Order: sequence, then structure tokens, then C-alpha cells
Amino acid sequence: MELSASDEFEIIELVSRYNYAIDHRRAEEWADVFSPDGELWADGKLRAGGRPALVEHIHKAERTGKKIRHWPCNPVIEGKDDQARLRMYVLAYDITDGIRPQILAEYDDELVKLDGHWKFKVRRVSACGGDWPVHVQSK
Amino acid sequence: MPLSTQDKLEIIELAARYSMTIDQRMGEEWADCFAEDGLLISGNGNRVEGRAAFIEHMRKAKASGKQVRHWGCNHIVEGEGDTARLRMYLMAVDIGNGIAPYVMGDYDDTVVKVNGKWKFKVRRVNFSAGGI
Repeated sequence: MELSASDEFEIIELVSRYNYAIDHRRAEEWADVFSPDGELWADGKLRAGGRPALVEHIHKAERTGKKIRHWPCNPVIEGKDDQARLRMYVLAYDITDGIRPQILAEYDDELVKLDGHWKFKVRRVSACGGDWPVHVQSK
Repeated sequence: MPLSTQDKLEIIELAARYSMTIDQRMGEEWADCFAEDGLLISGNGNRVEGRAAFIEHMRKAKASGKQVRHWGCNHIVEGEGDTARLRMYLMAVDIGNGIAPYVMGDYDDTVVKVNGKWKFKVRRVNFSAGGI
């Protein structure tokens, strides 16, 4: 069955929750947007796989002391039943001291619907311009 | 009853109308985004309350000559029945001389459905970077 408008809206809202949680360093909330076996890849490298690693990813980001804000746009959602693909842009700003664009990147994600809720199964992000934040560079 | 997708889309559109009307200095239309007893609480401690105050606030903004555009993203809408909470990001950009972001922040709003239309009852904005 094709995805409904409600499915697509929930997926877009999942992106908002992802961004809120990573930007405000809420590790458990961030892990909640992934499936239990969820993975984050950046430029073809696995950065975090599974809940404990995802939680640690946020703790590591917090230790850098950097303040980042993720600004998404251009979501394209395709899929059927309980599986979806999401492609979108993101522009992340470093707001530690002023407001400075940090990195512009593209996501190409796999999502699954578990117990009625959409989750990221694999989130892949590829840089288009700028630099990764420190906690991603060091992996 | 949980909010429908239609409700959520209308609330996101309300936020867009808020941004467009404040940027175009349209006092009456901006005030229309709020409930009659609506309240705006800014991160700098400013409070604007009630329709007459909203229109006066916009008159002052227009008189300042400052050209601004409000950008929003990362909407999260939660609620039931005729009451909702909207969280979203804000970036305000000064376009008076080039394009210069000067504020980034988060809204955390209370929205109510009045006569079939969603309105801001309380719009709270906290600044993450920059300032007004």
C-alpha cells in the first residue's frame, strides 16, 4: 500500500525530532528516533550503530562544547507499507559564537514503521560543502 | 482526540502566516494569527498582549525601517482536541543591507482552535544565538 499523507507527515516530523534532539544534546531522545538496530553513516563510514553507540555519539558531540543547529529542507519521501526512503538537504549552522554555516549535506535514509511509529533504520549523510562538526571529523 | 494531519498542517501554515505578516509589516493580519487574549513572550523578556498591542508593535516595527525575514523549520506539533503545542526553529535574517542572520531561536507555543481556526494563544521564543 502506498504511503499516506499522514505517513509522510510523520516522517517529516521524525526529522524535526532528530534535529531537536541532536541540537539540544538529548541523547536518549535522539536514539529514540532510530530503530533498535539503527545506524548513522557519514560519507560512507559507519559513525554509530545500535542504541548505546547512538547515545554515545551525542555525549561525544556535547563534550566538544559546540552549539549546532540543523536546518532541513527538500524532503522527498517514497515507499510502501512499513518501509520508506527519505532524501533531503540539511544546512547545519555553528552558533557557538555568532551564526555561521558549518556544513551543507544530503541525506538518503531508510525508514521502517515499528509498532505504528516511523524510525530511522539507516541514516546516510553525505557532505556537499563545508566541514563536519568536530565529533564527526574525529571518527 | 489526537490532532489530525489536517490540524497539524493548518498549525504549520499559521506559523508561516505569522512570519509573512510580520515581515511585510501587516499589523491587522499579524494580529489575526493570535487569539483575542494572545500573548507573545520574546527571549529578551518583551511581552506583547492583546490585539491592540500587536497592531501597535507592528506599527513600531514598520517605523523602524528594519527589513527582516523570519525562517522556520523543524516543526513538531503535539496535542489533542482544540489545544496544541508547537515547537519549531526560528532564524531571523536582516535583509536591509545584504543577507545577515542575526537571531536563531526556538519557539514553544500554545495554540488553540477558535471557531474552527487555529490561533496562537501564547507564542514563546527563546534565543539560541544572536539577539534583538
